[in-house]
Amino acid sequence: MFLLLMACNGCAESSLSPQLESSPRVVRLTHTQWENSVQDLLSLEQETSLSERFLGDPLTEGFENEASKLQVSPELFQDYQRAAEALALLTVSDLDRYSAVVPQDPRVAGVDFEQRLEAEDSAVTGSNGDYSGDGWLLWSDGSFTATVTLLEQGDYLMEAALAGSDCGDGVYATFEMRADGEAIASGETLPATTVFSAEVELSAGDHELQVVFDNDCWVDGGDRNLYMDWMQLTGAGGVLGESQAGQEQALAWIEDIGARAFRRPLTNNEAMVLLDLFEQGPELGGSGDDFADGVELVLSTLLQSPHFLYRMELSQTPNDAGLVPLNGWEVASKLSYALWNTMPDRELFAAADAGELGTADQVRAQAWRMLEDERAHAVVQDFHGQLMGTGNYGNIYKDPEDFPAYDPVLNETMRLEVEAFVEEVVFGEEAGVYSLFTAPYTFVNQDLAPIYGLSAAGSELQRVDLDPTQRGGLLLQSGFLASHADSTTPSSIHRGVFVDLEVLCLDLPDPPANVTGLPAREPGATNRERVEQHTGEGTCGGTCHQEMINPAGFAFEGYDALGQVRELDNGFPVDASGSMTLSEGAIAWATGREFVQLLAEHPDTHRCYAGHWLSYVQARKLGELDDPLLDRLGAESEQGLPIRELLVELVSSDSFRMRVDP
Amino acid sequence: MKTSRRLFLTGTAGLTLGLPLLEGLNGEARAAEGDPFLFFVRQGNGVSQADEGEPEGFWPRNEGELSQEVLEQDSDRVLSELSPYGRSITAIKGLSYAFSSNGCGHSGGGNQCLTANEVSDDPSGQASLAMGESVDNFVARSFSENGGEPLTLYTGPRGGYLEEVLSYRGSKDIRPAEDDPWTAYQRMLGVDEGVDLEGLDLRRQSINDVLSEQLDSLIASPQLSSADVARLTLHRESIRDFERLSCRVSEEQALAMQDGVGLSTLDDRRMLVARQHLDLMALAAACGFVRSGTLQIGDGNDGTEYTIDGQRLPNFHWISHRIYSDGDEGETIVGAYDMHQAIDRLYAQTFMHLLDRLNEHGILDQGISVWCNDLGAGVSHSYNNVPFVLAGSAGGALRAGQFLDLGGVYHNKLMNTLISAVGVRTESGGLVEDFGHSSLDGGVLDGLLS
Repeated sequence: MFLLLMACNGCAESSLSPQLESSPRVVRLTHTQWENSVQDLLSLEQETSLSERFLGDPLTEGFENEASKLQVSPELFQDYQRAAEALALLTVSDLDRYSAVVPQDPRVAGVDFEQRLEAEDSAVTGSNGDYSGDGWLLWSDGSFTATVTLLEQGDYLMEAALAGSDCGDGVYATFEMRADGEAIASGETLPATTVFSAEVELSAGDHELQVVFDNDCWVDGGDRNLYMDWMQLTGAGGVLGESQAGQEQALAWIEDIGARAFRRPLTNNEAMVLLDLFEQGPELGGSGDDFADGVELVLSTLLQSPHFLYRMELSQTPNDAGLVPLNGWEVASKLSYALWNTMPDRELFAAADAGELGTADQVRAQAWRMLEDERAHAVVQDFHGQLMGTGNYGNIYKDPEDFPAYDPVLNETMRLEVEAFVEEVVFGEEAGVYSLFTAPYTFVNQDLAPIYGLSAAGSELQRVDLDPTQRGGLLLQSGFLASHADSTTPSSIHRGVFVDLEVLCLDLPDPPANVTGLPAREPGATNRERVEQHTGEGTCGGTCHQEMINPAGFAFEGYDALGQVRELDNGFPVDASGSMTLSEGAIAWATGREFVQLLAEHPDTHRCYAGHWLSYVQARKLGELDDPLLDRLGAESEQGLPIRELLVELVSSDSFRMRVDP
Repeated sequence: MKTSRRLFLTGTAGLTLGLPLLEGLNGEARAAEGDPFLFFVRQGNGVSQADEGEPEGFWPRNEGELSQEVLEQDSDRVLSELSPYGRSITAIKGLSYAFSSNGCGHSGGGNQCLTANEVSDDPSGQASLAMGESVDNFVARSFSENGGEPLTLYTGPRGGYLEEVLSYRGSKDIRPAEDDPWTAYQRMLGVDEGVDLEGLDLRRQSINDVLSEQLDSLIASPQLSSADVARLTLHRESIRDFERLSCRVSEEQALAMQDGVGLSTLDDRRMLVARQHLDLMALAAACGFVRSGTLQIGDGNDGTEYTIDGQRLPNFHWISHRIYSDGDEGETIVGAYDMHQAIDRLYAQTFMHLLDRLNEHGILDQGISVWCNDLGAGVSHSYNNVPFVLAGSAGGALRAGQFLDLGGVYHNKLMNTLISAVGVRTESGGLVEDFGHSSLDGGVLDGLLS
């Protein structure tokens, strides 16, 4: 590589210069990706939701997964640490979870046993007091005592349903739980009946269980008593039985779980470091279950490791073309986080292991398989939700005087409408960008239908056809129109800026500093006239607004602040006509529907959409060297390439599978 | 027979994790150590001061010495709310932000408030960022408490237009803020109650050794870009033994915080959550846990619907515009100025909650608490007369108990003054006089340092 660079320094033509935009080599998982990854790694049936309490990442422009914004601060390090500890503990605390994560250490379930002892029954002796409701009340210091007969030695859980009163001093009855006279737990009761529990190891034979009350008090105005509803002994059938595993199994487990956590095989050194840690488990854990202590310690480490928390691209050997192909493991991870937002599945790992992710066709085949999976649907929704800003729909508000039919429940319905529409276009119809901006149908329920002049029954969204002369695609749906409007009036400038920046990817200069506001609305003027007065020809906003922003925004004048079709604004006919000069020359339209048709047919729109996806799957901003790929994908999209195929083309491109920087 | 540290965790069928036990949360903050601290509480949307033809409703009538009596005399002004602490208050009018925003006045004001630095043009608009470090971060890393980190707290909505804007590690490197008081408190405690600390620390140490080696090895990889290395370096520096808060909130406070988990973004809890955050700030200072911190109340252009005297007001950002709109046109909000003043008073009371707590701990005058804003006034979005209201003297380093109108001075000088007052010095032992952007005239504010 050194020689290559030296040669290049002397080149007048840059035939050997890098042809790909450089990407970050370490990309921290988003909190969603962390959540999905731990769920997959530990074979959990549901999300842990632990990431809900993680320190959030700052809100920025662009997509949430942009690597440059994802850091590990001291606060987040602590969050990862505590989550890792909790998940490691969870894994070694339950036989099913343990068996799923540590198949190298098969265990037999603990003892299966359950006996409940009601306080008011003769099986339980209350040393003083009397019946009270469903239980027994101790009036003064004393105990509840019962005897159980066990057939097997093992781990048991003793529980007691207790409540207490206080002596007018806020101190409630305290208790001690004992087995064969030895304390196994103690605590203070609450006024409400609460179940307290403690784990205890017991041999076969008879055992005496006790709950002891020891802080009795009676004064004028207070009487501290202990109430018990029941106590119970449960055989800890779910806990781990004895282990037969040793160092060989430990190493096999470390290599297996490590490879899945790091999403690549461990180096020999990494495995040895982790084995060393595993062997410190008994000393550092001290639970009496040596193998489980090792598992807990190593699992906690893996979940905090940078090799788990970041997706990495460390390959650095160039091919003949001067590009650095990612290795199979890197491709597998990049694919799975791009298309699934989680770690690779066993099939992707197997493909990486077999060296079957080295060519564009091999990656294409995997991508097609992955797009069939539910996880790909979630990613497509996440992408469009971020692109359209549906996360902000919750802030939509309409003035009840102007929009008596508006109900805040519509905000969430509008978000779901976008989801249902995108699902239908991308996966149902297997269509392309053109449909995304023109498809003359949407999804409504009884609340949303009136906005489209329709009626529908029920709260479930259902597909409805729309008047194709008035509606079509995402930009003429209620959510976009209502979220780019204030409580009474369409925000033409915001609608126009969205089209310019997010649909056409035009390069608008920054707005002027401390921009002054629009003048108040006057009778006798339309919204368009008011905005034009402020930003049109002869004003400081003349160039940008008049040529780029206002025409795109005014195109939606036929839709009010709630997204309903309107013909009049302030008593005057709306004027949605306009023209703009884009990369291929001028476009002109008379209505909003014509405008979105022109957008959907325009190469800039297709290229821009492909660029958003490229940014999303690469977790970075775009650069000039992305141009050739975007030119190609934009042209193919314009010819009708379905969005699913666009994704397959993106992830099988050199840009995705290779790097340039040494 | 054995007892287990897995108490209360075994046998759970779902993924419910054991909640920490609440016993023992009744300890008192240990006595003040005497180290000064610097806290900021940010209000958005400007205050009800004289601007664009509206009357003065915020500042006292006369410049000069402040006392309970002086503040009480101007009971029609917002700052009268702080009269019980009159002698500890330093109210400073006439400070300006030096730099323009880039398309969003609230973002640009929030960016500059604690950084005295430029506002980025990439990103711009509501995504703009400060081009320098903030004063809370600067002060925190001048000392060792909390590993040289400030507390960074927030109560506002998420997933919106503009969220936290205040605290920066460096240029365009914003510190994410914590929403949830219980989570913030748990981080300070560092550990669930009832855990065997010695064992836990040993396990963490062993694991951290492995993690540190992994990160060191990665950071040394020659193929990484400087941006990759910078992110990994922050991660590497984040691996450490965390100090544990040595004192506890009351059981009542703990239960209230726990009840609010997941609700901290809701409007009707805004000031309740703010007060819980302020309780933690005061406790952390009293226990010598931190040297600086920020609480941003409300999102960047605070759209909270505050409830005052049982009445839910419209969106505060709209009130500050005096119309039912985030933009420039909408129906007039009748009585908007009075509502704005009522919200200012609510903020004054909330700020006073912090002062009350600090006072209870006996440390009000040991540090400086600052009530700041992203704007001077809402209608004009002005960066002039941005209100800074200080409480406390940092152990006498600041001449508290006065109202000054500086008539238009860039606020970087106040930042220099605050930094110096809490005891940070240059390597040569001099006052820090050059905080913020290098183009600004440095120095401290005359007459404020004792």
